[in-house]
Amino acid sequence: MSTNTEQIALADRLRKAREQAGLSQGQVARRLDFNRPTISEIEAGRRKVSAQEISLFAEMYKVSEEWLLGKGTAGIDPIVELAARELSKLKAKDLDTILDLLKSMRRREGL
Amino acid sequence: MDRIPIAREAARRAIELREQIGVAPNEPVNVIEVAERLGIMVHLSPQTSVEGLYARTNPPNIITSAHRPSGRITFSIGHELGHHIYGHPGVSIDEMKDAEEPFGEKPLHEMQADYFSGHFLMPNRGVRAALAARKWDPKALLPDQAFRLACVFGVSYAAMAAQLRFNLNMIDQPSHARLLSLKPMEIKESILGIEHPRDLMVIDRSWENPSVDLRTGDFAMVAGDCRVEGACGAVEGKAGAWTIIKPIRQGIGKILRPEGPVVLRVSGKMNGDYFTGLSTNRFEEDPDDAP
Repeated sequence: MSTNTEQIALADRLRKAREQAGLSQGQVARRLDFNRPTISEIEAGRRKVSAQEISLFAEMYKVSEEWLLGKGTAGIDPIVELAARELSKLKAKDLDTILDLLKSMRRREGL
Repeated sequence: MDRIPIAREAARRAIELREQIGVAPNEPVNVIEVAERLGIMVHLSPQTSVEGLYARTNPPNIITSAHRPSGRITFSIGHELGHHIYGHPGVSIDEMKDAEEPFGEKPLHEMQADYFSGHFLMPNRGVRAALAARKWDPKALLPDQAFRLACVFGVSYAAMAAQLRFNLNMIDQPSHARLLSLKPMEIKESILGIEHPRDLMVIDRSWENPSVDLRTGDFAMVAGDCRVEGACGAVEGKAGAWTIIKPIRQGIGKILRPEGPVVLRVSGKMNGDYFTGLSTNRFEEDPDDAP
């Protein structure tokens, strides 16, 4: 994947994670002491994001850094996903969205 | 299936959890905050077809649709918390149903979660104390009184009626049927004087909860002359001896009333759209959501 494509994919995941957390761009800018347009630029894929910023976003949105970087889906066990698909009579789209959310969540160490 | 031992076990676990988190057995609880304190991630989801989901992930997650009356959301989260407390494995998904039927015939683990939710949210001692404070006889409980009782515990009218009938045995079948003969919409209209499809919270003179959570689009009726401190809400008008309060925008303020202040916490957009996202972010002021 080209650097530009990666940056856009990261930008999409950052926007999705922010929306999942229920935060607006203005709220995120205020928390990080950024200018609001900076968040828009990041989510449009027009500004590079440092490793330190990735870490800040992941902490704020409660998602895993690996998921943000497109490297994995740590938040849900595949067995849980399978069980959910078998058990559920939810609308397929709703179930997909919910499972995506669970996959994005950061995992707590130790349990 | 014999429900009595299931209900007793649920009541015992509900009391144990209250002891564990230091909440008195007669105190109304904020179930979202309890789940958060237990390290559970609570998501208010834009998805409409899910009533509730519990995933024993690490950390655990509870997901419920934001597009439901707040009393219904409270009971659903209590139900999902029940799955957590019982240690039910994997994932439990409860689909959206049109009718609300707590304590109905279900698989064992679902009944356990229902009874847990009922006892945790509406404990025997708490309901008795709330009735006594208002000098209400449960056997002669009127629909508007049952509605106000439901407000105290943050649950739906139907859930309170079911708890009084099936779990606490405070009312008989005809009384239960009489309560259910009126729909919450009709009761809200009789209290507020206008049709109001969204939530109505009634804060009477005996209200002791330190805070009240509202969503934009709701109304609160507060006994006596009141004013609101903060930008999250405003006085909309008067209805007899009551003050009508309208939540305006996300944030935290205060309702100043004759009996003492109540913290007002508002979630949701100014246009009335529900907050969706992680519960911990629901009362944060939003600079993007301006008039």
